[in-house]
Amino acid sequence: MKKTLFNNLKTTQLIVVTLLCSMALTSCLFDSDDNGLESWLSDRGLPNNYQVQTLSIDNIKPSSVEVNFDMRPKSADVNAVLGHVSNLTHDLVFDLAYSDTSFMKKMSKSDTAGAFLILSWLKPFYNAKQYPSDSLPFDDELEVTVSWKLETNNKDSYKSYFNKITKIADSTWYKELKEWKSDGSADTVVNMKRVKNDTTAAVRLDLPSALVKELKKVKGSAHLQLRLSAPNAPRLYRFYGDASTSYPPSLVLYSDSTTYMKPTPTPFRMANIVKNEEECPECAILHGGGVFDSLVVEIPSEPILEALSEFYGDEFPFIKGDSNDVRQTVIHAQITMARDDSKGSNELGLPIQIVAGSYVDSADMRYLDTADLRYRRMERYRLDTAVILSEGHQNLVFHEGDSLTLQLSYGFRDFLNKASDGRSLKFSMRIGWPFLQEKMTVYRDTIITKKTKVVSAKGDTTYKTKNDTLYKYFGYFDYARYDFSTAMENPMTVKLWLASKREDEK
Amino acid sequence: MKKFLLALGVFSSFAFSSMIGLDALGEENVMGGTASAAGRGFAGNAKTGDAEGLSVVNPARLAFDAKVVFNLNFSMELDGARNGGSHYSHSSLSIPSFNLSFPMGSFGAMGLSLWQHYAASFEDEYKNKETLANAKLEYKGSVYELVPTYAVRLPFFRSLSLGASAHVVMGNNSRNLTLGANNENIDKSDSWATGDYILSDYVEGAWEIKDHPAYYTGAVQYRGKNASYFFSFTTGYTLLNTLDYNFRFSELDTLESTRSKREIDVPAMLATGINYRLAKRHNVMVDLTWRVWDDDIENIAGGWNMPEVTETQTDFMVSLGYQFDGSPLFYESYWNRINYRAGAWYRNWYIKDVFEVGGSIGGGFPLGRKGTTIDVAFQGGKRFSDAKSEWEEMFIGLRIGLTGIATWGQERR
Repeated sequence: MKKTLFNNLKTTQLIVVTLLCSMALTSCLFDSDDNGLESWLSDRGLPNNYQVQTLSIDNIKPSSVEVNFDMRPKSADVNAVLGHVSNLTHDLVFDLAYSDTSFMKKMSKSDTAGAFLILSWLKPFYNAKQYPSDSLPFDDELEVTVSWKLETNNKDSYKSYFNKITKIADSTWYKELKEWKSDGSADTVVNMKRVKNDTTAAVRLDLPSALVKELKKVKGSAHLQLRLSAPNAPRLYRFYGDASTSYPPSLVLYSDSTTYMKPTPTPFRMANIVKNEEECPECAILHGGGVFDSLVVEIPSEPILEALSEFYGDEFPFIKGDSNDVRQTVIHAQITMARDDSKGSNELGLPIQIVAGSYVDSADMRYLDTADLRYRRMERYRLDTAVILSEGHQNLVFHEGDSLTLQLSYGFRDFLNKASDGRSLKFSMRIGWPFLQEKMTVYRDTIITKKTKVVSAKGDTTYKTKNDTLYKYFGYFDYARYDFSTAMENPMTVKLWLASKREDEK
Repeated sequence: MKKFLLALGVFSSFAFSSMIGLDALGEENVMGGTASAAGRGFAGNAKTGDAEGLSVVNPARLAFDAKVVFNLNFSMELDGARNGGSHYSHSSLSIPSFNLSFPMGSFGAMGLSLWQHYAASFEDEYKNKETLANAKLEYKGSVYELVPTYAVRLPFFRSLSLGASAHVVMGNNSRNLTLGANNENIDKSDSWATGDYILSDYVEGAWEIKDHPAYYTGAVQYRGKNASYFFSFTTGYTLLNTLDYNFRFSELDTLESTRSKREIDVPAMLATGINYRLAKRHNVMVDLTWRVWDDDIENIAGGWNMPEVTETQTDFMVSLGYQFDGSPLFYESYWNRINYRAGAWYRNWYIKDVFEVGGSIGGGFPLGRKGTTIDVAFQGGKRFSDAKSEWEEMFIGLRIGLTGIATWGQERR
């Protein structure tokens, strides 16, 4: 076979020679010094970092404040509440179905038949050390209005009837609860009693005789929707919901003192219906906990753009080409407002986080709001370590200090970028979770790796040992109420951290 | 072949490209960037033969080809930029062109080339705790041209041919400058808010020709017994670069881009060249291209202290080359079958005060009996710069071209 030039060279030799030549050339002629790239960037007018500048703008007053009370019925599958607190009444609704022909016959014939509800106390909440010690004991004779909707079915099997009922989506059911039209209602009284370290597991709520009379008529399958309402309750009572595997509420039906329907029917879903009793619907009042009220605040563009114009010496808003301003961007932004905790009320005495979201542009049409064309983006929270350690997180109410600072980086970024269309800065505020680590900079649930001193929001000192968990939030809502009128009526301060593409001033 | 690919792999790890003109158009791959032309100093567009292949400067040459040629080129270049006491080297790999030509006898010849006419490629990062430098810079830019070509020999003057090609422009470009924060100018108590935020100054765009589907080259070629020469004219055109420019924290967290268009008026080009065949397959050749730039080029994106434009100058290139044609007979010794090439060039870049001097040697190595060839060219030289923002560069390069030759549609003689 005729050999070619490359067949004469061994592969290894070729690679080694090529590699050595390349490396020699690279090291001799084509090396870089330590600052070579930095120097090259500089000669081309490119920076090697971005300069951060800060700008404070005082005397900002909102141009509009809109309150959105959250009146939507919500799931009570996990936490079920009943009662009245913070100008809100919370009704509890059960959706359940049952069938037991032989028992129903006994019940219908019995003069001693009856029914009651078993509601299990949410013991982890009442026994938590964060639960205020002065809230117990209580011993209330609670007036409860029981209203119901009862539907019976003799045609279908229980299984197919039950499937038909449960096919109704939860969201549809919640929606229907807004227009509650009962088949009947009656008042009853139940004793709500708890003391410290109470071992009482549940409350028995005897159902009114008018309802029992209706239940006795049931033949075949029954679909019962039961609503409890206690508008005059002195407080809010918390129970396990139907999602609890150990302590779900149950409906006990009996024909006499020893004969019960077994198994005891339990609801397959539950809901809470809120009634807002605030006298001033337009006041800047938010309710927290399981209620998602929001305050939508608009800041006028003029004072911010004027301040930026003065700061940079350029025209604001930017109106050239498509008018999208990319001359600078907001690295971080926050707004500080006055705070008066005395106008609020809470159940647990813990600081509560105020959650902020800004209205920004989105290409995602699912969020399209035809009124504004912006959607609400929840803001990211950055930790100001030094201030947190000395004064606590600044996005809390019901804690020391007299101001509230919300971080609105996404909002200000969008506002500066698109200010040419005349938009204002718009953000929403909502009451979040009770906060446990007021002065800790670890902003998450943490497993302790060594013995750590923890000062609670109430000033108690405890020591956590290895493998203990340090929780960020208390795991149950505080059905709090907060009046932000002081915040909205007094001037606010905006602070911006900015990066600019403008030429260096030399 | 396997060994060549191994060598290619080794070299590609040291692949470099020019850092001049990144904000304008980037580096121009002249003459289609083929390895065979590079070996003879980018001269030889007038050289005719059975399988010379497609020339984007002289479409008329194709009429004299007798064989189908397809050709793929790789280019690797080592660049060492210097300015005063500072020096810096950088890397990338490019594929300047892919060419296919198909002679059709008395019906002329057709060809198609995909040519990366301009390339701006750069990526590196730099951190220095003392100077608070934290920068990553990335340029990715290619002006590609799809060049359909047709050439035909004149009916009665068979030594003359005419050729024309259209250059359909496409491609895209981007610059991504990612920077860390410098908190020197703010109160220490405010520095928490910037944290480890990395911010990118990002621009990306697409290339096309304004108001026209293509620009065009027309050429006439004469093939004599010893001397061959050509003359070509390429129309001027306006390159349109549609750009989206923004600040971004991540791909999903960006400002809404501002959209702008930059227009680059590329002037018409005149080109000519001559190839003179000496006895026994020795060829010498000279080529010249000439463009007069009237307007400066707006840079890809503004901001910071960057100049807004890249100034231009008259752009011309003079190339001088030599080629010893290898024997087409497969039973000759291998050394006799190799094409040997050498050349040198002087090039005024389109960028003001930048010019280049270079030289090259190369070879066309036949593989097997069917005409498949690997063209290799080693290049070296220097790019001089008096421009304020451009550094001068030393460069060495390796170009490799894979050429396949076939006789599809040709009658056996």
